[in-house]
Amino acid sequence: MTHTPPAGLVVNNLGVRYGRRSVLAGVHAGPFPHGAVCAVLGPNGSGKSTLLRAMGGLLRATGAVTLDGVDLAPLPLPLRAQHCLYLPQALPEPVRLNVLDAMLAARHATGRQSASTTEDIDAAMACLHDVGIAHLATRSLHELSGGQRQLAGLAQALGRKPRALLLDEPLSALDPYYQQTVMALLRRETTQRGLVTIIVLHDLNMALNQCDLACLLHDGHILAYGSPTDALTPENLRTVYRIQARVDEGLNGQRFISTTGVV
Amino acid sequence: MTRHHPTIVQTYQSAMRHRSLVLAGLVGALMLSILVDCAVGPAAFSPATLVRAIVAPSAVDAQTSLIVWQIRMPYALMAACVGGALGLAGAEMQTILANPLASPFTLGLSAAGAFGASLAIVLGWHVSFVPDMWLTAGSAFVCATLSVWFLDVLVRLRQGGTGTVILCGVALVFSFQALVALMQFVATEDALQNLVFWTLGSLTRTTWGTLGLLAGALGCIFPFSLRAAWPLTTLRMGEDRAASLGVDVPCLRRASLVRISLLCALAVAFVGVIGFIGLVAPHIARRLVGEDHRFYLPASMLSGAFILSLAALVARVLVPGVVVPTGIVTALVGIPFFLVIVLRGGGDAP
Ligand SMILES: Nc1ncnc2c1ncn2[C@@H]1O[C@H](COP(=O)(O)OP(=O)(O)OP(=O)(O)O)[C@@H](O)[C@H]1O
Ligand SMILES: [Mg+2]
Repeated sequence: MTHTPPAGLVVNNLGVRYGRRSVLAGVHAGPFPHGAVCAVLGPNGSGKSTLLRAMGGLLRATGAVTLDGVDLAPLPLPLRAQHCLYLPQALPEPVRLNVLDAMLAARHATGRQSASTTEDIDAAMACLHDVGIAHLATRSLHELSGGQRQLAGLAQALGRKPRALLLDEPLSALDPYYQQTVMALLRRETTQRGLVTIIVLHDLNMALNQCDLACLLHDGHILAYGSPTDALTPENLRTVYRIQARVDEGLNGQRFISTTGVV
Repeated sequence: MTRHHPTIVQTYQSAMRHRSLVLAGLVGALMLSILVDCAVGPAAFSPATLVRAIVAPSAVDAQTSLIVWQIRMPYALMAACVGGALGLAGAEMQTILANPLASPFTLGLSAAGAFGASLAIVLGWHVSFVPDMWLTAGSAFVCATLSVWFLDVLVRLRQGGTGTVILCGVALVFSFQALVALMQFVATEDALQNLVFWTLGSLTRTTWGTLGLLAGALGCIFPFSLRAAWPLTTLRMGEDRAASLGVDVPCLRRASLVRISLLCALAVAFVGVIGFIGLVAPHIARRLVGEDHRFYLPASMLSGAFILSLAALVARVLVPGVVVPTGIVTALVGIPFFLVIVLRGGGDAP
């Protein structure tokens, strides 16, 4: 009998400390399968960013992160970013750089190539078009609004076409229109290209209705992992977020979480 | 999709052409100011004589050829090279430290160089077969380089962010300035004269040897800077973002620091303390071509070269018969440019 490694992204016994303070210890998470959008949820300071940064190789961590059975830890950062790319929670800085150049810089950041060809420009434009900000291509980042910069940052990450995407609150500054567009885009890309997509969210309804899996982080460990309906129960929300919440079923099978108070 | 967005791609390409034109314009302005620098002085030459002296030195009289080739040309070219080195170093420094106030001057490199020079001058070091001038320059070079490495080690030991680097740099400035003042206090009359050269910055001691060394270093380092242009551009959008895109930020910083320390240490070793250029050239470049480092780095180098070249010219014509130390006039000449470009640029981004 041959042992097949689990498909997708798996976190095994992960530990992270900032100086003396241990933030994550012995975390097992996943497997996060290909072709599914998985929401990571938890209150402020629960370690969502820390978990994703450690998975993306931005923090020194103990334990193992494997993608389709391959340990990512020994890979050098440029190679690792090709497999598994982390999108930071912070927006791109408002610098004097136009959006298209920012896309090209992201594309060439780890390569030797110095000039950008027309194919590069076409690919970057296609990506901006997908995200819905092609009209901003020649605007400078320092003249854009926060949400517009967030979209540009997201386009940078998508343009790199990694196999696993770790998105840290990519919707935090977006209006409802762009929240829906981006979520639809992520779902489409994920199923079409078989990506592993992990997305940190604070919007419980978005997680409930638009994600395939949900992972609840509480006090540095995973409290629940499974389909959003199973994970986001009133009891779990009460433990994790200290809120009183109700889950209602709407007309077309959509579900709503309404918060009725704090504990 | 070029088919879907022809106008946007065209706009982008014309913006790229515009930036290339700005660079070409800077090169032209620099050439012109170097030529004027060669022509103007106590013995003024007509443009025709100057061109003849440059392309065919044997066609003009020996004295003209001597003045142009041995005095004015090294002086003018050195101004451009030092300005270029400081402009490039300042641009990289502001990027890797993510701080618009970073410059070789504000981080103590120049002060360390001046201290190194003052050690050699005041203590009267002599080594047989080595001219005193080279000894002084060598001592300045070693001190400036050491100060950068000291900063680097300090920051790596304490795991500090870029804010810590700046604070330590400022502390270095004050320490070295105090040490230089102390050296001046104990110096003899003669040594003091010599020391003023370092602390005020002067181009008058340029020789073809020092010029060749600095120009060679600049020529060798600049391609490496350009090769790091893309990762440096991503670094401007945030350290986390660059790292998440696969850029090895500590490694990029260290390589950049090596280039900066070489450029600044050589510049300060040969001409002494010249502030201002390393601070404002990057800002001017940013306003002119934005922060795509493929354009920003050359633009900052060229702006630095142009400003210092103009300053060198003013330094010679300001007081007839006397060459005012360049460090004094640099700011006076550069500030009008700086104000015009920065105030005209609009927007609040640095
Ligand atoms: N650089 C740091 N140094 C020290 N402690 C840190 C650092 N970054 C985060 N922490 C701590 O680690 C814990 C987890 O932080 P993390 O940023 O992962 O939270 P988060 O779940 O992403 O929160 P949010 O929803 O606010 O983004 C917090 O208690 C925080 O105080
Ligand atoms: Mg976070």
